Amino acid sequence: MILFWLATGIIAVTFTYIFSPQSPDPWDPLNTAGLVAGLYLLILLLSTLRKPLHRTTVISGWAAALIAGAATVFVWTGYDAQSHYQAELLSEIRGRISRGVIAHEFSEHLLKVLESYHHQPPRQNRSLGAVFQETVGAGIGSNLHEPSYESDRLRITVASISADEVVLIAEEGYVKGRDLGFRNLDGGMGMVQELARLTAKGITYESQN
Amino acid sequence: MNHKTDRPEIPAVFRPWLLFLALATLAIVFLTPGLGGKERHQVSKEFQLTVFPWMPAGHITISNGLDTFSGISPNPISEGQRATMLIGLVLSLVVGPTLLLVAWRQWKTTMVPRRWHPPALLLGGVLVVSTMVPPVILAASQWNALESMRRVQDLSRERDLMIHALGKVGRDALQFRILPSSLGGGDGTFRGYRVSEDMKQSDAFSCELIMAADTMITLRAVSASGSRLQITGNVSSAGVMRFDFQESEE
Repeated sequence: MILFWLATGIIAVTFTYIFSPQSPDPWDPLNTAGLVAGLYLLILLLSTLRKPLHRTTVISGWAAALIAGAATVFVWTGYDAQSHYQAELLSEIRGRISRGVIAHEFSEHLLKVLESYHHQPPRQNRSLGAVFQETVGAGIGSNLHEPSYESDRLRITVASISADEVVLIAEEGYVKGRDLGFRNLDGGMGMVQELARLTAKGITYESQN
Repeated sequence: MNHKTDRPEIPAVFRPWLLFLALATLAIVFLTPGLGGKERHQVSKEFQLTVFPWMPAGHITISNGLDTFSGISPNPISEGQRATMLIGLVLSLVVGPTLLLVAWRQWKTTMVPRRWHPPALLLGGVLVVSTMVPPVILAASQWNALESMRRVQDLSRERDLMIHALGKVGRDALQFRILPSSLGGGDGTFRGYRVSEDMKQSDAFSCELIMAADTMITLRAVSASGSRLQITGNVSSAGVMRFDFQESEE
């Protein structure tokens, strides 16, 4: 009898776990197999906690099973929710750091250009594009970001330079943006991308993803 | 009929204190990593014997989050990790309860102890106690711990958003200082700067200008939530921003 129960339970849970669709999230197959294990436990309890056992024994057994089961479900789902919350929070923090770095780098380059443009000697009347190329020393397609650590995949690309406008586009190589279907400048999908447009009136920012 | 005389003698192994002692000892050994729970049973680098399958799953999820944070592609779940979760699930929710309940029911209903009853009860008891007792204890404290952690993280998120907003206003002020007055700028001074309406107010906080001098501007962000957080930011004409954090009196 005991071998039948063991074999049934082990096979049911193992097969459910193994044949659940595999995903990068370990919780999907685990939760599915956990539900099957819970169903198995319920059948096992219904089968064992019944007559001819004494009524008090049956009630005590069910009470203990309910308390332990509820606590296990609570802790299990708590771990599930909390670990996902932590992982998402890390991703969100990374996104905020990244957008902060981008905003800082945009303004670092472009405010310098804006200042040089508006404080030109009276006789000089260089265009905004010319001031940018002179101050920053970069042409269209250049990457203005210097990596500060090994896996730093931020790029700040000079998208366009004209006489009265300079456009920079910053994109992260691995930090996900709001829309996962967004096509990034470098061909990637769904990553953070911000745009800054410099004109004589100042800088306007556009959060593209 | 006297039932007491009909019942067979219960073997000495069923003495409650002995069973309790054995269960408690094994539970301690099983649950304490330093005493062998993890290290002794480790058969490969990634496989660990556990009766809490949700713990390795949580570990993998957070580890993947950390990898993403660090710019590393998360590793796929290894066979060792999958085995850890599956075996933990089978031991905790199938093997333990089955051994304990089936052996116990058979022993109680027939009153004839079999040779497999003591080891089955012992092993089943250890597994059930190891699996079910810690969650009962943890469940009581987990709710408060989770709520407390979320409050701290919400506060941290609010602080980051306020710093980000102050930085945005600071950069806008720097631009104002650079622009000539013909383009609505300060012509070399922060004096006359106003925080624009779209940057002034959000659902979570408000930004205000405290002081604007020639080479320095002071801004303040005040939380609209119950955290009473205030951040004061000083922006110099060189573009240096300094932040000071405090909780408001009210």
